[in-house]
Amino acid sequence: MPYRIPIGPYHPALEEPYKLNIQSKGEIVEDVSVEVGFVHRAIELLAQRRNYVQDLVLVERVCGICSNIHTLTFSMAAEQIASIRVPDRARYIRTIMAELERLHSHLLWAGVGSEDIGFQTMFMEIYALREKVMDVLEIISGNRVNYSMNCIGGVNRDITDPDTVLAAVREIRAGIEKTIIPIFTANRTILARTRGVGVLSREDAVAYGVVGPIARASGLAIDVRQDFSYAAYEELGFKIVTQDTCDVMARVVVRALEMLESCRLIEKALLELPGGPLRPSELVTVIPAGEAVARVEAPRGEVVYYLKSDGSDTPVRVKIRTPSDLNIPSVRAMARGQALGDMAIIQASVDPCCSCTDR
Amino acid sequence: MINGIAQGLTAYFVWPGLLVSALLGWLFLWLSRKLVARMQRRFGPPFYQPFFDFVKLLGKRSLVPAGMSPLLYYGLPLAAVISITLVLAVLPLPGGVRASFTGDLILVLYLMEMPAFCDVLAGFASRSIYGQVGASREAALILGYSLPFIASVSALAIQAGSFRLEDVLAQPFSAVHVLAGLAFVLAVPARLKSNPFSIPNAEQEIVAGPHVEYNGPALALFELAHALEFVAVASLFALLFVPRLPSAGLTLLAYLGAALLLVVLTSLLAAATARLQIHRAFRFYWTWGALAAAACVVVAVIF
Amino acid sequence: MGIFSSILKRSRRRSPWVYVLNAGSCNGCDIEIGAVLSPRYDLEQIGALRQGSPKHADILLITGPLTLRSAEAVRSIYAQIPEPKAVVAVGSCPATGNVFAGSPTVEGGVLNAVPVDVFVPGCPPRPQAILAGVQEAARLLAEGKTGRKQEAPHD
Repeated sequence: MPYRIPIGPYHPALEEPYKLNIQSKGEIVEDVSVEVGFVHRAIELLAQRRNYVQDLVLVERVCGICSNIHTLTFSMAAEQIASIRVPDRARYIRTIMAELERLHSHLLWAGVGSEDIGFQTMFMEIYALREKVMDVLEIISGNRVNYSMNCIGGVNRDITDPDTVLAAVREIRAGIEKTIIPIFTANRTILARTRGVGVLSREDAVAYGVVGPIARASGLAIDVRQDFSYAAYEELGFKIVTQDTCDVMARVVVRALEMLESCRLIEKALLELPGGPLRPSELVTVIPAGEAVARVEAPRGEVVYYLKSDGSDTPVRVKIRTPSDLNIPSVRAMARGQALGDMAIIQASVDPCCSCTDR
Repeated sequence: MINGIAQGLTAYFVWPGLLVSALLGWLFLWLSRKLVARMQRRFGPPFYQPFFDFVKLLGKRSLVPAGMSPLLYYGLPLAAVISITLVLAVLPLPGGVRASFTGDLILVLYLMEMPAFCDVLAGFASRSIYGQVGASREAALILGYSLPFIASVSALAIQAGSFRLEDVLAQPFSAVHVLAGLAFVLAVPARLKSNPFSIPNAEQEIVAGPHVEYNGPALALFELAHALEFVAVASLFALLFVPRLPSAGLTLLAYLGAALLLVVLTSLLAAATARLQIHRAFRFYWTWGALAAAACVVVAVIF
Repeated sequence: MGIFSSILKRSRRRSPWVYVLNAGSCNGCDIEIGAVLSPRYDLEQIGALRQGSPKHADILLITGPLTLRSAEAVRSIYAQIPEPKAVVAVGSCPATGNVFAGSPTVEGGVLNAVPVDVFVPGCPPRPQAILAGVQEAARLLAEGKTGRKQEAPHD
């Protein structure tokens, strides 16, 4: 029996509104088309009407999950135009925040993924651990979601108590090593739902131009942290994680190992935290005329900001290219020939972020 | 005659029928939710939760979905509740009054499938694509779990040489009971649509499955039927596979213990697993279920 | 009759099933609603369940500033929830449009689309505040004080 099943834009499997039009024969998916744009808030337009200080607040709200990355990339672009050198301590703190954000984002993804395969206990276990990451973020920034840590030229707040943060991160690392990874790699119902499911071949990955953990799970060793190092990744010795089984399981493993790498980076950064100032002594409000492109590895992949200034306090052009923009269409390649019941986890394995995509 | 009718009504509406079973069913549902919550390190719902859920749904204004006849919309959940209560009324639980007749075990088996069939019909009638996919999944699941379920009950009937419940219960406890009991337990999670077989009502895949268009009082009736089904499965299990004890009180306690054990086991399983896909669930029941079914029937025939 | 209506009142207070609707939010409020389900805050302890179908829900949790493309869906989903129902606006966006106010693709606040019973302000609000908002909406449901029309803010 041929079905035409719409998933979304409002559907319990989707964290955010977008639409998957599924064409299926019985329980086998024949084709999928994706529709986005339900969350379009015209942020780029608004950013061109507001000044740089206001823009930092605005771009933080491009996405609530990777809020820090957006202010970081925006600041980096502005710093590039104005030739501002970011103090060492600020670079380390930026790295720590970016990796903490990756931890919470990957844990969030693992939780949502567990929910999508109907494993509620795993969702609860992961979210309990994620609360510890949220605690660390709150200790450092005072906020749980929109941290407002970055400013042009540095960071707004210092890590005053590295030891507390270090202890908490070690606890989180133990949680990932002792509960999350063993369950994901040993529970038979999880294996049945992830192994060999939603395969995105290396060729398809290149053709769709996917980035981030999805590309790395399809055997492509691309990561901005390695290829165009920023913040303090060079000093900390970032190690890339790749897998080549190309299925949902590979995406799980890549993200799990990335979380461990994040923990290692945070621990090392905290131990080697250099002294010195956090930001330029005066608030940067005007950026000289010029243009710049900044690239950063967000939890979902590469974020690109293009910024053009005419020397005033308001940017002429802000262009945001987010990773989900590239990743979401690849659902089509993953879904063909798969079971209908797997669509939830397949689309979730991409970790689609619609507020990023739509902006 | 009048006495008989009164007894019948009591059996249907009070014990072991509607009233007591509904309370027991809500207690089981709560216990299951609470156990799962505790295993997830959550506090979980208070014990009156399923009752309040039911009353709240009763008090909601109902919207009959467009294109669905109100007769079907209300009739299906009502049929589910009526038939599952009938199962409870004819089960010879201690303290209950009932009339036994030839082939009553077959009646029990048929009536127990009624809520699931009503679900399937409700899904197909709902004109929602999610409801239809849910319904076809449930239909496939029924085909799966019925194999060990019917075989386990039939094995006891074969051993007794009769489908009268009284005759089946009169048999001494034997190896057939153990094997058939295992086959029965195998079928329970899918019967109760709990994890890893919560496939027809998979929220993240097809919203709420067959019940997607249902709301208010009609949904309340489906929820009630589910609670009663819980009790019916547990009672049938206790009745068939727990040896009778000298006094009625003790037997009742043993039955309650067996029922609680069943609740705990299904909750543990539900908390420790992800949802399977329908074809895997089907394959599971047609290999392991079939094996268990064959084993208990063969043993019943030989002995 | 009196007994049933008082039990019904208690039930409405004790069994608020929620449906979460993203009306163009940045996800911040949505992930905090996710956290409310988690063991530390445990939404189920007040009897609430997250439902996948609006037809099963009592309380609509709305996040986001109401983008043009979501406005129609918000109205339709609100209409699908059977009476009595309550609406909780989670975050600053559904109240005022927050940082997105003035955008041509955003209506700026959900009051244009549906009557809101409880506002939970914050960008995003803490999980405790969301939990309290659901409780408050359940209390309003029990007292039958939901659905009052409010005037949309205007400049």
